[in-house]
This record gives sequence, structure tokens and C-alpha cells, in this order.
Amino acid sequence: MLTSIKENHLTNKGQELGMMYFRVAIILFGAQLVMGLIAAIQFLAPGFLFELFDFSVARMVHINALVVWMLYAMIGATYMMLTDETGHEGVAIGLGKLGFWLLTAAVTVVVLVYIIVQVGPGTEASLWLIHEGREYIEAPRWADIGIVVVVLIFYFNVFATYMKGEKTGIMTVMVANLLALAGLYMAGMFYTDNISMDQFWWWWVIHLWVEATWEVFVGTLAAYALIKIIGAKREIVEMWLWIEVLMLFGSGILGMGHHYFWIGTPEYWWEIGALFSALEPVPLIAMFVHVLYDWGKEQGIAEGRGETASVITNGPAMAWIVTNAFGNFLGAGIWGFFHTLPQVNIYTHGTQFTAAHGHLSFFGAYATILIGMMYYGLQRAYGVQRMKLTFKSKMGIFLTTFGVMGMTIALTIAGYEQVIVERGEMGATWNAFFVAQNLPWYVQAQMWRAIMGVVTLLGFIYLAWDLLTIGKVSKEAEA
Amino acid sequence: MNELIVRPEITPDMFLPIFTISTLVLVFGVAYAATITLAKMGYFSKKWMNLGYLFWALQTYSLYLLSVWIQSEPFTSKVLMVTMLAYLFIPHLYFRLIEDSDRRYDSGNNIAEQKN
Repeated sequence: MLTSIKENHLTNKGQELGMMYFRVAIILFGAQLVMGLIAAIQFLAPGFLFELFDFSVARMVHINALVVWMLYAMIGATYMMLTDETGHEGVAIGLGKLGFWLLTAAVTVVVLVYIIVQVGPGTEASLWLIHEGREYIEAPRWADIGIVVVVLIFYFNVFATYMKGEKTGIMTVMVANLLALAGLYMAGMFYTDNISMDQFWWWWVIHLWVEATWEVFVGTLAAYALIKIIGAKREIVEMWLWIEVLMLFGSGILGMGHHYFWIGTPEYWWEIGALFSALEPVPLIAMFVHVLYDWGKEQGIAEGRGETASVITNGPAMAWIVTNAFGNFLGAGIWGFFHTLPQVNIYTHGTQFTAAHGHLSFFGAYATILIGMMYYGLQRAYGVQRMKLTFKSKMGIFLTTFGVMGMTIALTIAGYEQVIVERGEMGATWNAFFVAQNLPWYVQAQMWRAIMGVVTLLGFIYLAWDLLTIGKVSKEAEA
Repeated sequence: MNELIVRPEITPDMFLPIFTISTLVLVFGVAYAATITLAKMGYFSKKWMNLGYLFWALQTYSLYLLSVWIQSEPFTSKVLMVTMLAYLFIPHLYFRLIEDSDRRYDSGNNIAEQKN
């Protein structure tokens, strides 16, 4: 991955910029896992790093690093496919590189402030200089404005290149979706004194990202990757994509109602949230079927021509994309549907069920396909015709997936115990919360979560090692 | 005076059945879509599609049970059943569209080959 900086086979400057974004993304992914592990240990030993690096800080860096690395990887993936899809060199890649360095400098400063300063007094100055205190998007206001400037540069690059080049279906969805994705960020930039109103707008960013625009983004990446990696027919892939967009937006936008059940919004959100949330798994099933259908079909056509070789030209990327198809359905679909209906959600809301869903869906729906795109980028950077899975690739996939699944199951058990004891039996009182936190099932589940966190970190080490070496190994094998 | 909203009381021993049945709704849903897909792709004979319809029936029943156990209003239960009816047709609509675009794509290819 690093060797590709000086010598590479990339065909355009946009892809070089894409690789720059991928490199920072993988570093932030590692930081996210380390912070998560610290927070997991603090669940078991609350005194660990107390008043030095509290749980609230570790958790804040953990979830913000998650969002930021994924945004980095998304921007990288977009630059990776921009010229391929439009047939036109990116119009302002130099400006894009400036944006990259500005964003990376800002992220570095923000993370250092999170780690060193941590918290400030409840004044405007804290909002401007330390953090805003909104989960997932806690960047201080100066960084918020900087992010908007950088994203505008990025969007200008994508939009202007699209306007000058070929307008494929994939790129049309990408351009329209990115406008929504970037625009929604601004809904989380202003403050109101009313917590219900504040949460109302905050969900516009979080929900409409992860259950609408990000899912559509994944759809476009999968469409592009299937064309490039298994030679799927564009017309078929784009037709799937349009149907997925219809279903994802059709269910996902009003599915936001499931976040409005208990925050002081009108009660009609119960019916709206319940109905559209219930529909949200349908496009995920479609995306799951789509990947497997295209793969089976292309392999069948190749075998019909008498070819014995696999149609897959990038083993690790395809393995991660197939993991995405399963992970998206399991994490976002099953673990989301568990507790999306208001009658159940009134008991599960804010328990470890939410954390279980969050872990598996962020990993299954987003991390997997973005890592797949990194492998695709490496294949292009090294000019390799066929990239095969190495031992490290397999260990990377197996250990991270096993670790995240393990964490999810452990957190589900902890959440189930909370639902039964804290909510069902003890009525969700303040005392009930602490009683439930100290019961053996909860404590043991948290212990297993920490163990599985270590397994995930080991998987990440294999993944990072593989990303650093697989290009050279594949190149030598082909020579 | 505002109408009093009563929280649905779920007894602790009902949570596990509720979580299980909600999982089964999606598992049967995937099994239905997968069976139809594999039959359409030619991995199974078309008669196996009947097994897919059995999965769909089990999914519908699971969703109905879920709506009863979580004390959904009758209107919501009806909407869910109508949704299930729509889900019965979705895979068929998909494959109809795919076959149509395959035909268009292939005929486009043939024309291009003839020109070459």
C-alpha cells in the first residue's frame, strides 16, 4: 500500500488521491479499534485510566474515528471510480489534494484535542474549540466549517467531472446521492436550546446517512465493483441499482420515525416509524441477492464458454463484498428488525441491544465493502491482473468478522438481560440500571465482548499487514 | 382531554419468543428470496419454487404472530399482511425486469457484433 505512493500503475490522478484517502482511513480504523478496546476494558474495570482517559472520552474517540475513517474511505472510493466511470480526468485534483491535506490536518488537531483537552466548560468557546457533544459528529464548530469547505471541494470535483464526462447510471446515482449525503451534514451544525429539537435535527444526519444515503452509496460501490471484479453486465447491475435506490429511499427516509419514538416528537411517528422500519430490511435482502446472483450468473456464463478459471479477478475484494452482502443483511436487517417496532423498542431502547446492532451493522454494511474497495485500489496501483487471497487476507477477514460477530452476540446477551431485568421486571428506574449492570450475565457478556474485541484487533493487524504486502506479493507471483 | 396512551405490557417471558419470531421473519424472508433466485438461475428445478412459497407462508405467519405478541393494533396487522402480499410478487417482478434487460442487452450485443 505504501510502495504504491512513488511507483504505481494508476491511470489517473484521481486514483492516486483515492489511495491517499485509503491510507488515512486504515490508520483511523486502527485508532477506532484501540479506543473501543479501552472502552470495553473500562466496562469491566471502571477504574482503568480513570480521570486520565475516561470512558466518555474513549467512547467519543471510538465512534468519531469510526465515522471519519468511513468518510475517508468513501471519498477515496469515489475518487477511485471517478475517471473510470466518467471517462474524464478529474477536473480539479490539485484542489482535491489540498482539501485532503486540510482535512487530515484538521482531523489530527481535533483528535489531539479530544485526547489531551477532553472536556471544557459549558460555554460557546467549548463548542467552537473542543467538541459539540453530539454523538458520532462531535467535531468542534471550527472543524465543522472546515469539513464543509473540504466536502465542497470534493463535491465540486465529482460534479464537474461528471458534467464533462460520460453520465453512467452508477455515476448519476453517485452524484445525486453525494449531494444529499454532504447536505445532510449541515443539519447537525446548529444548536438549539431544546434537547428534543436538537435530537430531531441530529437524526437527520445520523439516520439519513446510515439508513439512506450511505446504503445507496454502498449500492453504487457494489455495482461498480461487480462490473470491475467479476465482469458483471452494466445494464443489469444498473437496473438492480435503480431498484435498490427506490427501495432504500422509499423505506429509509421515513424509517427515521424509529428514532422519534421517545424524544418528545408527536405520536404519529410511532405508526410511520413502525411501518417504514419494517420495510427497511427488504432492500437489504435485494442487495444480498444481487451480489450472489451476479456472481453465480457470470461464473455460469464463463463455464458455459468452457472456461474453468474463476471470473473473480480480485479475490480479497470479492471476499469482502460477499461478507458485505451477508453482514448488511444480518447487522442492519436482522439486528435492526429485532428492536425497531415501538412496542419492543420501548423496552430495548438504550440497552446494549443498540450497541450490538451498531457494531454489526457498521461493520457488515460499510466497513466490509470499503475494505473491499481498498483491495481493488491496490490491484490497480500495482497493475496486477489477478489478485488472489493470501493467508493474511484470509486471517484478516476471518478474525475481524468472527470478532465483530462475537462482540455482537455478547452485547445482545447483555442487552437481553437489561431488557428482562432492568426494563421488564424493575421498570427502568435509576436503581434498576445499576442492578442490571452488576448481574452475572451482563458482566460475563461484557467480558466476552472485550475478548472478541481483542480478536477483532488481531484481525485488523492481519488486514493492515496484508494491505501493506499483498500488492508486491501479487506482482511477484504474476511476474 | 387527551386520550391516555397505554404502554403495551410485555411480560419478561415473552421477550425471547418475540426476538426469535422477529428473526424468523427475516430468515424465512431470505429463504424465500434465495429459493426463488436459485430456481430462476437454474441451480434447482422450478418445482423447488414451491418450497420458496412455503417459506413465504411461514414468514407471513411469523409476522402475524409477531404483530399479535407485541399487541399491534388491528389496522397495523392488516397493513403488515398487505405488505407480505406485495413481498410475494417482488422477486418475480425483479426477475422479469432482469430477463427483459438481458434480452435487450444481448440483442444490443448481437447488433454490435454484426456491425463488426
